[in-house]
Amino acid sequence: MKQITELATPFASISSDETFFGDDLPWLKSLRLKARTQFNNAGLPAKKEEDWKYTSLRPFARQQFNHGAKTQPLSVEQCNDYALLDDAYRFVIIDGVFSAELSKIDGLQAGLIIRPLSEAVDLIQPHLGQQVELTKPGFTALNTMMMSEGMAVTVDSNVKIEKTIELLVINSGESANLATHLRHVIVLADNSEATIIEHYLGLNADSSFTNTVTEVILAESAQLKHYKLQQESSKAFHIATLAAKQAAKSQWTTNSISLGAKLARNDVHTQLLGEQSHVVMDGLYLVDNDQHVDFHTRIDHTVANTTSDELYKGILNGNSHGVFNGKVMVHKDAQKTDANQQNHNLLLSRGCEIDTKPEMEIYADDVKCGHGSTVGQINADHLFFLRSRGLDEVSARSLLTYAFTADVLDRIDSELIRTALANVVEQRLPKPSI
Amino acid sequence: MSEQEQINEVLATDYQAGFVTDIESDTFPPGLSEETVRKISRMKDEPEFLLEWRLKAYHHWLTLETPEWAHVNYPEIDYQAISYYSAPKKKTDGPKSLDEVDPELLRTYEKLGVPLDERARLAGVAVDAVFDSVSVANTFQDKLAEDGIIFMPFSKAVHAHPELIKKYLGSVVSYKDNFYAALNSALFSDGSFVYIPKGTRCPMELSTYFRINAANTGQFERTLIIADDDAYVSYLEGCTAPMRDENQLHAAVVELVAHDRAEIKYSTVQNWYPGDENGVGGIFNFVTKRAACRGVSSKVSWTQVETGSAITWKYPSIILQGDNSTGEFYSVAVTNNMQQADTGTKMIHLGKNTSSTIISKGIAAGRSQNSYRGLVRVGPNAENARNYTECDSLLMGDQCGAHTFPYIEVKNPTAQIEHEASTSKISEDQLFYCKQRGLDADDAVSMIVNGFCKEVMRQLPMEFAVEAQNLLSLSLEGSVG
Amino acid sequence: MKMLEIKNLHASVGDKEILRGINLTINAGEVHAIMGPNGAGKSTLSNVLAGRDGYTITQGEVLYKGENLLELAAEERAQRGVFLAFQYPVEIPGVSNIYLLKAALNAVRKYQGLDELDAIDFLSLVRSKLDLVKMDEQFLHRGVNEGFSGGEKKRNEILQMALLEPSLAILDETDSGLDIDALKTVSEGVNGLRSADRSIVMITHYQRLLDYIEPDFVHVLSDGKIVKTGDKELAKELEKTGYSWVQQGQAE
Repeated sequence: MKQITELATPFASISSDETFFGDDLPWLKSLRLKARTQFNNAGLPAKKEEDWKYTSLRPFARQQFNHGAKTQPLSVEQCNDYALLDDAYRFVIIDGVFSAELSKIDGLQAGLIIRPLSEAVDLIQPHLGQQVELTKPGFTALNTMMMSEGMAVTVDSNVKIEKTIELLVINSGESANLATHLRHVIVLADNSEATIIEHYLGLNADSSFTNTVTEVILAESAQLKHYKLQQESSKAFHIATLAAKQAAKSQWTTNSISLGAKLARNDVHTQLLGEQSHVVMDGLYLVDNDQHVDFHTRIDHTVANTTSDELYKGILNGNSHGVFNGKVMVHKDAQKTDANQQNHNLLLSRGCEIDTKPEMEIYADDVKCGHGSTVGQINADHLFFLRSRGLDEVSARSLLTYAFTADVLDRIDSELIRTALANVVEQRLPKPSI
Repeated sequence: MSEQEQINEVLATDYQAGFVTDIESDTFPPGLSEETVRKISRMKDEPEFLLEWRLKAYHHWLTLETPEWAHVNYPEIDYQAISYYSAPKKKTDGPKSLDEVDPELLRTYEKLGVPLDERARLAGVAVDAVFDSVSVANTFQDKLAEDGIIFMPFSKAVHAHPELIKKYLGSVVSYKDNFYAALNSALFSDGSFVYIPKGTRCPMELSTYFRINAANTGQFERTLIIADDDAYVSYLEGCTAPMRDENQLHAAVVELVAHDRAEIKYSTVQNWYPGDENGVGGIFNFVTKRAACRGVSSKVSWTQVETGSAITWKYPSIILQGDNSTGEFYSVAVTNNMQQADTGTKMIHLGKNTSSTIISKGIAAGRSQNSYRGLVRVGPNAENARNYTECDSLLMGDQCGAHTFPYIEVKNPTAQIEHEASTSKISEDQLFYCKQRGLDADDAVSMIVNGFCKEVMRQLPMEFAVEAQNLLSLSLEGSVG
Repeated sequence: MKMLEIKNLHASVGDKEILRGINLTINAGEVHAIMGPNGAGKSTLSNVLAGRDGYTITQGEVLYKGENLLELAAEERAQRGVFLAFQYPVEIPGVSNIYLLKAALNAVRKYQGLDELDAIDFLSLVRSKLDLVKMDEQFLHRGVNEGFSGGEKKRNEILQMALLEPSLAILDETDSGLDIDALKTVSEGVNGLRSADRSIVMITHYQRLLDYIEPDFVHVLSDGKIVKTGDKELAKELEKTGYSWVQQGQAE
């Protein structure tokens, strides 16, 4: 396999005669083939690429990953424990394989379809691959050529889905060095509403590679609340692309919480294609030890009267490394754009590193755009205040660290989800060590 | 007339420094080779170490590629089509006093508002006038020498103070630093050299006025300023060029070194010819400026008002090595018509308790592109580093672009970094308010823009502030309404 | 002398007609109050008179000292003596108050064919006006309205009026957002500027201001028209009965 980057692909073999679902469909076969050609030509992104300036894939390239897995069956009770929500539709993927037994997708509300991707090809044909760029080097092409499963969701016009949909992706650790390539497609028709949580979980401390691409299509006036919780093992590699296209008056709220993984890279992108579309793009990253987390976000304001509001916060402990690169792009004629982006970081220990790069590219004049970025530590005055009120230093620091995350969590309007996520975050809060 | 039409009208003005001085020159034929480098060195009768350094730079340059990361577009430069040296024919061996300077040159500087005669003395500013590739006049040298201050053309300093040149040249900007710095290191023809001895406060503003006159030449000047322990100097730099249809290359390097408790204040009003409203002609301004705050409690402050050049690629930076050192960057960058500017700064925090401030004001009009690019880096040992960055952009017209590319890299948990940026249109409410008080559109725009830039303008020394304000108004004349 | 004559003035914003046939004559030396409910067109009227963009005049004319006012640009109106005290004075960061005052005064003087005032004369003139609105000199050196309280902004408007000595002053909701002390200060300032050759138009929702600045005439503006004209007693009546009767009267 020809590689133009210095990085080798960490797979023993991706044989060209490997078979995938949908190989009988010419359009899908040709899409996979296009992706294969692209991946073979461009390979993995190298550090000299601006988008990968602060994230080295060398540790990744040194691994060897396998496809095809033995899966570990889980009991319903175990699954209930792992899931974030009880009263929700549940779509479970274990070690890359859809589990009908553990999923709760019977008796769906009228107008809602939830299906494994491999059984929903007809449904998603018009959308698959439309939200992402295949031409960039890297993981989207790899995902497109290798995608083996995923969740497909469609919601009909004017339907408001009452229950939250929890996508639970579990790596059981039964197969060592397992690589999974998941593709999720979420399509909301006009004026429909849904709430979806993507939840990634690792059950042991082994190395694994999760490569996901989630495509979101919001028709006019559709509203999607989307949350992602990533708590994989500290040896896992998690590479995710989340890409949306938004029609007029649509509203997308997305919030990504990244806790696990040795290396987690998230690309979050939306294109505001219709007037009065709005996006809230939030995220929280808490990393420790030698974890590396990288968020690359991009918001394209392509037409007039669109708004975006972005808030990312990070807490870094140990020798961890955080990267935030947020790009707001206001295209020509996208007048009356209102865009605000904030990224704030808390450094808790010697040895950690943050690289943040909030960018704006603006080609329209009647706009209101701003961003703010800070790097700092726990405020000494606040700490002193709490101690003067009787809290010991460790408790005071914990409290203030938790408080730092509060405004991101407060922006989650479902109390149920907010509480569930807040609990997970609270448990994961690093113990400050200065 | 609509507000926008009025904006446009205000923006359409002529470049006032665009005349050509008719003077006989010695000019190298176009072309670049090792021999060009040797020839420049020979003309200046340079010591061997300098020639060697130039040649190393030249050979290194040959291995480099043009940087492409900036947000600017321009046709590839043919380095063989440029002449690398042009100097007015001299009657004597370099000007010893103003009486020996060609009156035509004196008139040129007079016309540019930089009088080199007694009036300059009254203004209390010492001037080094660099015309194309050489320094043509240098005032107040003797008076400054009484305090031990050295202020002289670079080419002269090479002979008078080779030990200082040897010690400091390339110590802040290595010839390996980047493509244009390498090119400059190989080919620089003149510039200013300043040394302020220990404990000395320079009694007057020092200034260099750069003028490109000859056609088809590149200007590669080199400025080196050293402030020894407890010294202070305020240095000003101005630049203009005639209106020509071809693009001309200006690739300068400026190195500043501040020792213990020294302070250097470096102010630039950059008004190179920006090209016409269709983007024909204008200077390519590819400049490397860097300061090293080497000593404890040293301080360097860059202030720039950038209104000129077809393309600006410039990041005056500060390496904060000394404990408790301070860096400041204040910038106003105005682009109009087809101008492109990619400018900002780098603050590299290495010492303990270092602090930096970045205030950048970008104003884009016409079809121009105006980018702020900045880096704030805190090294692992830079305890208690502080940075505050504010970068605001003002857009005038829907054909221009304003972009912000800040990089923040922090490896020390005691750092406190704050970055804020905003982009908006010039406010119609503000314009109407001023007009309701009787001001016409030009005055209203100029007033609001000057207000927008005030934090930066107030950093300029008095003599420069007035010029800079006028320039700002002129650059935007016709842009609003 | 007729200062301002508004004849059958119709004005729209986009497709929406806001002023629907205003007729009003104001003589030199008179103080008029224009009152009316929210949305009656009060602010539109003041903006149209001052020459703000965004309004289309579909019918009618406005004469100022016999001259067609609507043909003039905003700054030309200002230079000829039309002054608008803004309801929401805008902040202009970085531009000092004194700089704006000087630039504005000199723009007016230039139109009048007078020389620019030098810095010393200007400063003593401004100082003499500061007392009128009880403003501290330090306000002169702050950015225009930057970080001013509501009351300070309104006093600053009256200071500008005092300095520019307009022939026609339009006070747009000058009382809004003022506490009683600030209202008194502002009113005293305005009263001090009443003169035989100056006309004042007060646009207000409430009668309160008229207790301090007594008008010669009170007009009620409703739905883009002047529906009733009277003396200051009319304002008191409005205070008691509210605007609903006006609107009901319209509906009939």
